[in-house]
Amino acid sequence: MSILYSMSIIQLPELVDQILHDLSSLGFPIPIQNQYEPAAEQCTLQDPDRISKVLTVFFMQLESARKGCFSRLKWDYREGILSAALLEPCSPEMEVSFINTRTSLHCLGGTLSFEKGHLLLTLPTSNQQSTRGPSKDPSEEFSDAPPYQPLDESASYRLEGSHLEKGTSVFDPDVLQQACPDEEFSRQLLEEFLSHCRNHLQELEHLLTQEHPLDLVKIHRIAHSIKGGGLNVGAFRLAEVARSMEQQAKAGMSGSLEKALTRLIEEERLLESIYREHYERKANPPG
Amino acid sequence: MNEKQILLAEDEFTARKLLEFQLKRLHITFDAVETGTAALEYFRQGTYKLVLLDEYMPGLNGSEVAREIRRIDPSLPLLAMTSDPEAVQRLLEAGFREVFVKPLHGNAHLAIILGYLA
Repeated sequence: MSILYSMSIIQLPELVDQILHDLSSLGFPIPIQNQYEPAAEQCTLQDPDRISKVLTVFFMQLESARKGCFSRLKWDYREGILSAALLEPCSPEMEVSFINTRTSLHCLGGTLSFEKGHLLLTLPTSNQQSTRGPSKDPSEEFSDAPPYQPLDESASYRLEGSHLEKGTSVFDPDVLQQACPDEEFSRQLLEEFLSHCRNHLQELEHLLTQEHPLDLVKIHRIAHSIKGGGLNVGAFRLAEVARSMEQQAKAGMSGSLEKALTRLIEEERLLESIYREHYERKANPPG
Repeated sequence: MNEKQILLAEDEFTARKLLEFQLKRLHITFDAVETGTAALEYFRQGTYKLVLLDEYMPGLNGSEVAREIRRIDPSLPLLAMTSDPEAVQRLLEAGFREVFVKPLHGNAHLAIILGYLA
Protein backbone atom coordinates (compact mmCIF):
# COMPACT_ATOMS: atom_id res chain seq x y z
CA MET A 1 0.00 0.00 0.00
CA SER A 2 1.37 3.42 -0.79
CA ILE A 3 0.42 6.68 0.77
CA LEU A 4 0.20 9.53 -1.64
CA TYR A 5 0.07 13.14 -0.55
CA SER A 6 -1.16 15.35 -3.30
CA MET A 7 -0.14 18.85 -2.33
CA SER A 8 -1.33 21.45 -4.74
CA ILE A 9 -0.24 24.88 -3.51
CA ILE A 10 2.31 24.87 -0.74
CA GLN A 11 5.78 25.81 0.29
CA LEU A 12 7.12 22.35 -0.34
CA PRO A 13 10.78 22.84 0.57
CA GLU A 14 10.05 24.28 3.99
CA LEU A 15 7.37 21.74 4.75
CA VAL A 16 9.41 18.71 3.79
CA ASP A 17 12.50 20.00 5.56
CA GLN A 18 10.50 20.65 8.71
CA ILE A 19 8.90 17.21 8.68
CA LEU A 20 12.20 15.47 8.05
CA HIS A 21 13.87 17.49 10.77
CA ASP A 22 11.10 16.74 13.27
CA LEU A 23 11.10 13.04 12.49
CA SER A 24 14.85 12.88 12.75
CA SER A 25 15.00 14.75 16.06
CA LEU A 26 12.30 12.46 17.45
CA GLY A 27 14.35 9.39 16.59
CA PHE A 28 11.99 8.19 13.89
CA PRO A 29 13.28 4.72 13.10
CA ILE A 30 12.47 4.71 9.42
CA PRO A 31 15.33 5.65 7.11
CA ILE A 32 14.18 8.62 5.10
CA GLN A 33 15.15 9.14 1.54
CA ASN A 34 14.35 12.57 0.23
CA GLN A 35 13.94 12.42 -3.50
CA TYR A 36 12.09 15.61 -3.66
CA GLU A 37 13.08 18.42 -6.01
CA PRO A 38 12.11 22.00 -5.13
CA ALA A 39 8.80 23.01 -6.63
CA ALA A 40 8.64 25.51 -9.40
CA GLU A 41 5.42 27.00 -8.13
CA GLN A 42 5.27 28.17 -4.53
CA CYS A 43 2.55 29.97 -2.67
CA THR A 44 2.14 30.83 0.97
CA LEU A 45 1.14 27.99 3.20
CA GLN A 46 -1.35 29.08 5.80
CA ASP A 47 0.29 27.51 8.82
CA PRO A 48 3.33 25.42 7.87
CA ASP A 49 4.54 24.86 11.44
CA ARG A 50 1.29 23.44 12.61
CA ILE A 51 0.75 21.37 9.49
CA SER A 52 4.21 19.90 9.72
CA LYS A 53 3.50 18.95 13.33
CA VAL A 54 0.21 17.32 12.38
CA LEU A 55 1.91 15.31 9.66
CA THR A 56 4.86 14.44 11.88
CA VAL A 57 2.54 13.04 14.51
CA PHE A 58 0.70 11.18 11.79
CA PHE A 59 3.89 9.42 10.75
CA MET A 60 4.80 8.70 14.35
CA GLN A 61 1.38 7.16 14.92
CA LEU A 62 1.66 5.10 11.78
CA GLU A 63 4.99 3.84 12.96
CA SER A 64 3.58 3.04 16.37
CA ALA A 65 0.63 1.23 14.78
CA ARG A 66 2.98 -0.87 12.74
CA LYS A 67 4.67 -1.98 15.99
CA GLY A 68 8.05 -0.67 14.98
CA CYS A 69 8.31 -2.69 11.78
CA PHE A 70 11.28 -1.55 9.79
CA SER A 71 10.28 0.05 6.59
CA ARG A 72 11.27 2.84 4.33
CA LEU A 73 9.62 6.16 3.86
CA LYS A 74 10.31 7.59 0.46
CA TRP A 75 9.52 11.12 -0.62
CA ASP A 76 9.01 11.90 -4.23
CA TYR A 77 7.91 15.03 -6.00
CA ARG A 78 6.85 15.39 -9.56
CA GLU A 79 4.25 17.35 -11.48
CA GLY A 80 2.93 19.15 -8.43
CA ILE A 81 2.43 16.06 -6.31
CA LEU A 82 4.45 15.24 -3.27
CA SER A 83 4.29 11.56 -2.40
CA ALA A 84 5.43 9.73 0.67
CA ALA A 85 5.35 5.99 0.14
CA LEU A 86 5.34 3.53 3.02
CA LEU A 87 6.26 0.23 1.46
CA GLU A 88 4.32 -2.05 3.78
CA PRO A 89 0.66 -2.57 4.48
CA CYS A 90 -0.57 -0.63 7.51
CA SER A 91 -2.48 -2.17 10.38
CA PRO A 92 -6.10 -1.34 11.25
CA GLU A 93 -4.86 1.10 13.90
CA MET A 94 -3.91 3.33 11.03
CA GLU A 95 -7.57 4.25 10.75
CA VAL A 96 -7.41 6.13 14.05
CA SER A 97 -4.39 8.10 12.91
CA PHE A 98 -6.11 8.81 9.65
CA ILE A 99 -9.25 10.11 11.35
CA ASN A 100 -7.24 12.26 13.76
CA THR A 101 -5.12 13.70 11.02
CA ARG A 102 -8.06 14.36 8.75
CA THR A 103 -9.86 16.22 11.55
CA SER A 104 -6.76 18.21 12.47
CA LEU A 105 -6.15 19.20 8.88
CA HIS A 106 -9.80 20.06 8.42
CA CYS A 107 -9.43 22.53 11.28
CA LEU A 108 -6.55 24.11 9.44
CA GLY A 109 -8.51 24.34 6.21
CA GLY A 110 -6.98 21.31 4.52
CA THR A 111 -8.41 17.97 3.54
CA LEU A 112 -7.38 14.35 3.78
CA SER A 113 -9.24 11.59 2.02
CA PHE A 114 -8.80 7.98 1.07
CA GLU A 115 -9.43 7.29 -2.57
CA LYS A 116 -8.51 4.34 -4.74
CA GLY A 117 -5.84 3.08 -2.38
CA HIS A 118 -4.25 6.47 -1.87
CA LEU A 119 -4.42 9.04 0.85
CA LEU A 120 -4.93 12.42 -0.76
CA LEU A 121 -4.02 15.58 1.05
CA THR A 122 -4.59 19.21 0.17
CA LEU A 123 -3.27 22.03 2.28
CA PRO A 124 -4.67 25.50 2.86
CA THR A 125 -3.11 28.66 1.59
CA SER A 126 -3.30 31.93 3.47
CA ASN A 127 -6.44 33.19 1.75
CA GLN A 128 -8.57 30.07 2.19
CA GLN A 129 -9.94 30.61 5.66
CA SER A 130 -12.60 32.93 4.31
CA THR A 131 -14.04 32.70 0.86
CA ARG A 132 -14.73 36.12 -0.50
CA GLY A 133 -17.49 37.23 -2.78
CA PRO A 134 -16.45 37.79 -6.35
CA SER A 135 -17.12 41.53 -6.34
CA LYS A 136 -14.78 42.35 -3.47
CA ASP A 137 -11.40 43.99 -3.65
CA PRO A 138 -9.67 42.80 -0.44
CA SER A 139 -6.92 45.40 -0.59
CA GLU A 140 -9.47 48.20 -0.50
CA GLU A 141 -12.02 46.68 1.77
CA PHE A 142 -9.80 45.37 4.56
CA SER A 143 -6.93 47.82 4.54
CA ASP A 144 -7.56 48.69 8.20
CA ALA A 145 -7.94 45.11 9.32
CA PRO A 146 -5.21 43.70 11.56
CA PRO A 147 -2.89 41.22 9.87
CA TYR A 148 -3.81 37.58 9.92
CA GLN A 149 -2.36 35.88 12.97
CA PRO A 150 -1.44 32.25 12.47
CA LEU A 151 -2.28 29.79 15.16
CA ASP A 152 0.01 29.73 18.14
CA GLU A 153 3.35 28.19 17.33
CA SER A 154 3.23 25.91 20.35
CA ALA A 155 2.70 22.30 19.41
CA SER A 156 -0.70 21.10 20.48
CA TYR A 157 -0.09 17.57 19.29
CA ARG A 158 1.93 16.05 22.04
CA LEU A 159 4.13 13.09 21.50
CA GLU A 160 4.40 12.03 25.08
CA GLY A 161 2.11 11.05 27.90
CA SER A 162 -1.49 10.02 27.94
CA HIS A 163 -2.56 12.12 24.98
CA LEU A 164 -0.69 9.95 22.55
CA GLU A 165 -1.54 6.72 24.34
CA LYS A 166 -5.25 7.48 24.30
CA GLY A 167 -5.30 9.11 20.90
CA THR A 168 -3.73 12.50 20.30
CA SER A 169 -6.78 14.32 19.15
CA VAL A 170 -9.31 13.15 21.70
CA PHE A 171 -8.80 16.49 23.38
CA ASP A 172 -6.55 19.32 22.29
CA PRO A 173 -6.58 22.00 25.00
CA ASP A 174 -4.66 24.45 22.85
CA VAL A 175 -7.60 24.88 20.49
CA LEU A 176 -9.67 26.62 23.13
CA GLN A 177 -6.71 28.43 24.57
CA GLN A 178 -5.96 29.97 21.20
CA ALA A 179 -9.57 30.98 20.67
CA CYS A 180 -9.89 32.48 24.15
CA PRO A 181 -6.90 32.78 26.45
CA ASP A 182 -9.15 33.14 29.50
CA GLU A 183 -8.74 29.79 31.21
CA GLU A 184 -11.76 30.14 33.47
CA PHE A 185 -13.94 30.88 30.47
CA SER A 186 -12.49 27.89 28.61
CA ARG A 187 -13.17 25.56 31.50
CA GLN A 188 -16.73 26.77 31.86
CA LEU A 189 -17.30 26.38 28.14
CA LEU A 190 -15.95 22.85 28.18
CA GLU A 191 -18.02 21.89 31.20
CA GLU A 192 -21.07 23.30 29.49
CA PHE A 193 -20.22 21.48 26.27
CA LEU A 194 -19.88 18.17 28.13
CA SER A 195 -23.19 18.77 29.87
CA HIS A 196 -24.90 19.58 26.56
CA CYS A 197 -23.25 16.54 25.03
CA ARG A 198 -24.57 14.19 27.72
CA ASN A 199 -28.07 15.61 27.22
CA HIS A 200 -27.74 15.19 23.48
CA LEU A 201 -26.66 11.57 23.89
CA GLN A 202 -29.66 10.85 26.11
CA GLU A 203 -31.90 12.44 23.54
CA LEU A 204 -30.32 10.34 20.80
CA GLU A 205 -30.81 7.19 22.86
CA HIS A 206 -34.45 8.11 23.30
CA LEU A 207 -34.90 8.86 19.59
CA LEU A 208 -33.33 5.56 18.56
CA THR A 209 -35.59 3.52 20.82
CA GLN A 210 -38.72 5.09 19.42
CA GLU A 211 -41.01 3.34 17.01
CA HIS A 212 -40.02 3.67 13.39
CA PRO A 213 -39.86 5.80 11.34
CA LEU A 214 -36.93 7.43 13.09
CA ASP A 215 -36.78 11.20 13.27
CA LEU A 216 -33.70 11.44 11.08
CA VAL A 217 -33.91 15.22 10.81
CA LYS A 218 -33.64 15.57 14.57
CA ILE A 219 -30.86 12.98 14.80
CA HIS A 220 -28.99 14.81 12.06
CA ARG A 221 -29.35 18.12 13.86
CA ILE A 222 -28.11 16.73 17.19
CA ALA A 223 -25.13 15.02 15.58
CA HIS A 224 -24.37 18.26 13.71
CA SER A 225 -24.42 20.17 16.97
CA ILE A 226 -22.07 17.72 18.73
CA LYS A 227 -19.74 17.85 15.74
CA GLY A 228 -19.64 21.65 15.69
CA GLY A 229 -19.17 21.97 19.42
CA GLY A 230 -16.50 19.27 19.45
CA LEU A 231 -14.46 21.02 16.79
CA ASN A 232 -14.73 24.30 18.66
CA VAL A 233 -13.44 22.92 21.96
CA GLY A 234 -10.74 20.66 20.49
CA ALA A 235 -12.63 17.37 20.93
CA PHE A 236 -11.64 16.18 17.49
CA ARG A 237 -12.35 12.48 17.75
CA LEU A 238 -15.80 13.01 19.21
CA ALA A 239 -16.44 15.48 16.40
CA GLU A 240 -15.36 12.94 13.82
CA VAL A 241 -17.72 10.26 15.18
CA ALA A 242 -20.53 12.82 15.29
CA ARG A 243 -19.78 13.81 11.70
CA SER A 244 -20.08 10.19 10.70
CA MET A 245 -23.44 9.89 12.45
CA GLU A 246 -24.59 13.13 10.85
CA GLN A 247 -23.84 11.73 7.41
CA GLN A 248 -25.54 8.44 8.19
CA ALA A 249 -28.68 10.28 9.29
CA LYS A 250 -28.59 12.45 6.20
CA ALA A 251 -28.26 9.40 3.99
CA GLY A 252 -31.08 7.64 5.81
CA MET A 253 -28.79 4.83 7.00
CA SER A 254 -30.86 4.12 10.09
CA GLY A 255 -29.37 0.65 10.56
CA SER A 256 -25.97 1.97 11.55
CA LEU A 257 -27.11 4.74 13.89
CA GLU A 258 -27.14 2.63 17.05
CA LYS A 259 -23.54 1.64 16.49
CA ALA A 260 -22.63 5.26 15.90
CA LEU A 261 -24.34 6.24 19.13
CA THR A 262 -22.36 3.61 21.05
CA ARG A 263 -19.16 5.09 19.67
CA LEU A 264 -20.30 8.59 20.53
CA ILE A 265 -20.97 7.57 24.13
CA GLU A 266 -17.54 5.96 24.37
CA GLU A 267 -15.85 9.01 22.91
CA GLU A 268 -17.69 11.36 25.25
CA ARG A 269 -16.53 9.34 28.27
CA LEU A 270 -12.98 9.27 27.01
CA LEU A 271 -13.04 12.99 26.33
CA GLU A 272 -14.34 13.70 29.79
CA SER A 273 -11.67 11.59 31.48
CA ILE A 274 -8.85 13.15 29.45
CA TYR A 275 -10.19 16.63 29.96
CA ARG A 276 -10.40 16.16 33.74
CA GLU A 277 -6.97 14.56 33.83
CA HIS A 278 -5.56 17.51 31.89
CA TYR A 279 -6.90 20.10 34.28
CA GLU A 280 -5.97 18.10 37.38
CA ARG A 281 -2.41 17.86 36.08
CA LYS A 282 -2.44 21.56 35.42
CA ALA A 283 -3.74 22.35 38.89
CA ASN A 284 -1.28 19.96 40.55
CA PRO A 285 1.83 19.83 38.40
CA PRO A 286 4.19 16.94 39.18
CA GLY A 287 7.06 17.77 41.52
CA MET B 1 -33.76 52.24 18.98
CA ASN B 2 -31.23 49.54 19.79
CA GLU B 3 -27.92 50.43 18.10
CA LYS B 4 -25.12 47.86 17.98
CA GLN B 5 -22.36 47.07 15.53
CA ILE B 6 -23.16 43.41 14.89
CA LEU B 7 -26.16 41.14 14.94
CA LEU B 8 -25.01 37.55 15.43
CA ALA B 9 -27.22 34.49 14.99
CA GLU B 10 -25.75 31.08 15.85
CA ASP B 11 -27.65 28.18 17.40
CA GLU B 12 -24.62 26.09 18.40
CA PHE B 13 -23.68 27.44 21.79
CA THR B 14 -19.89 26.89 21.81
CA ALA B 15 -19.52 28.75 18.52
CA ARG B 16 -21.78 31.53 19.75
CA LYS B 17 -20.00 31.90 23.08
CA LEU B 18 -16.56 31.87 21.52
CA LEU B 19 -17.59 34.58 19.07
CA GLU B 20 -19.14 36.58 21.89
CA PHE B 21 -15.88 36.29 23.83
CA GLN B 22 -13.80 37.38 20.84
CA LEU B 23 -16.05 40.31 19.96
CA LYS B 24 -16.06 41.56 23.55
CA ARG B 25 -12.27 41.50 23.61
CA LEU B 26 -12.28 43.71 20.55
CA HIS B 27 -14.80 46.05 22.21
CA ILE B 28 -17.32 45.35 19.46
CA THR B 29 -20.94 45.82 20.49
CA PHE B 30 -23.33 43.11 19.41
CA ASP B 31 -26.58 41.27 19.96
CA ALA B 32 -26.34 37.48 19.90
CA VAL B 33 -29.36 35.27 19.27
CA GLU B 34 -29.92 31.53 18.83
CA THR B 35 -32.43 31.38 16.00
CA GLY B 36 -33.16 32.95 12.65
CA THR B 37 -36.54 34.09 13.88
CA ALA B 38 -34.98 35.94 16.80
CA ALA B 39 -32.43 37.49 14.43
CA LEU B 40 -35.23 38.98 12.32
CA GLU B 41 -36.96 40.34 15.42
CA TYR B 42 -33.77 42.02 16.60
CA PHE B 43 -33.05 43.33 13.13
CA ARG B 44 -36.47 44.97 12.89
CA GLN B 45 -36.01 46.68 16.25
CA GLY B 46 -32.39 47.79 15.92
CA THR B 47 -29.68 49.15 13.67
CA TYR B 48 -26.51 47.24 12.87
CA LYS B 49 -23.45 47.70 10.70
CA LEU B 50 -23.14 44.02 9.93
CA VAL B 51 -25.12 40.79 10.31
CA LEU B 52 -23.38 37.46 10.87
CA LEU B 53 -25.62 34.44 10.32
CA ASP B 54 -25.12 30.75 10.79
CA GLU B 55 -26.62 28.95 7.81
CA TYR B 56 -27.87 25.80 9.50
CA MET B 57 -30.30 26.86 12.23
CA PRO B 58 -33.64 25.42 13.33
CA GLY B 59 -36.64 27.22 11.89
CA LEU B 60 -35.40 29.95 9.58
CA ASN B 61 -31.92 29.26 8.24
CA GLY B 62 -29.31 31.92 7.51
CA SER B 63 -30.23 32.29 3.84
CA GLU B 64 -33.89 32.81 4.65
CA VAL B 65 -33.07 35.47 7.24
CA ALA B 66 -30.68 37.14 4.80
CA ARG B 67 -33.35 37.28 2.11
CA GLU B 68 -35.71 39.17 4.41
CA ILE B 69 -33.00 41.52 5.67
CA ARG B 70 -31.90 42.31 2.12
CA ARG B 71 -35.46 43.15 1.19
CA ILE B 72 -35.50 45.81 3.92
CA ASP B 73 -31.87 46.99 3.71
CA PRO B 74 -30.08 45.83 0.53
CA SER B 75 -26.80 47.55 1.42
CA LEU B 76 -26.25 45.99 4.84
CA PRO B 77 -23.25 43.61 4.78
CA LEU B 78 -24.34 40.03 5.45
CA LEU B 79 -21.79 37.40 6.45
CA ALA B 80 -22.48 33.68 6.67
CA MET B 81 -21.04 30.82 8.68
CA THR B 82 -21.28 27.20 7.66
CA SER B 83 -19.56 23.97 8.52
CA ASP B 84 -20.20 22.67 5.01
CA PRO B 85 -17.49 23.79 2.57
CA GLU B 86 -19.71 22.70 -0.32
CA ALA B 87 -22.27 25.34 0.66
CA VAL B 88 -19.85 28.24 0.21
CA GLN B 89 -20.54 28.94 -3.44
CA ARG B 90 -24.29 28.75 -2.98
CA LEU B 91 -24.13 31.20 -0.07
CA LEU B 92 -21.99 33.66 -2.02
CA GLU B 93 -24.44 33.49 -4.90
CA ALA B 94 -27.24 34.08 -2.41
CA GLY B 95 -25.72 37.46 -1.62
CA PHE B 96 -23.53 36.95 1.42
CA ARG B 97 -20.42 39.13 1.22
CA GLU B 98 -18.27 36.60 3.08
CA VAL B 99 -18.63 32.99 4.06
CA PHE B 100 -16.69 31.62 7.01
CA VAL B 101 -16.21 27.87 7.13
CA LYS B 102 -16.44 26.59 10.69
CA PRO B 103 -14.78 25.86 13.00
CA LEU B 104 -13.46 29.41 13.21
CA HIS B 105 -9.97 28.78 14.49
CA GLY B 106 -7.41 31.53 14.14
CA ASN B 107 -8.14 35.23 13.78
CA ALA B 108 -8.82 35.65 10.08
CA HIS B 109 -12.60 35.94 10.55
CA LEU B 110 -12.09 38.70 13.15
CA ALA B 111 -9.81 40.64 10.81
CA ILE B 112 -12.49 40.51 8.14
CA ILE B 113 -15.23 41.54 10.54
CA LEU B 114 -13.12 44.48 11.73
CA GLY B 115 -12.59 45.45 8.11
CA TYR B 116 -16.33 45.83 7.64
CA LEU B 117 -16.75 47.85 10.82
CA ALA B 118 -13.89 50.26 10.04
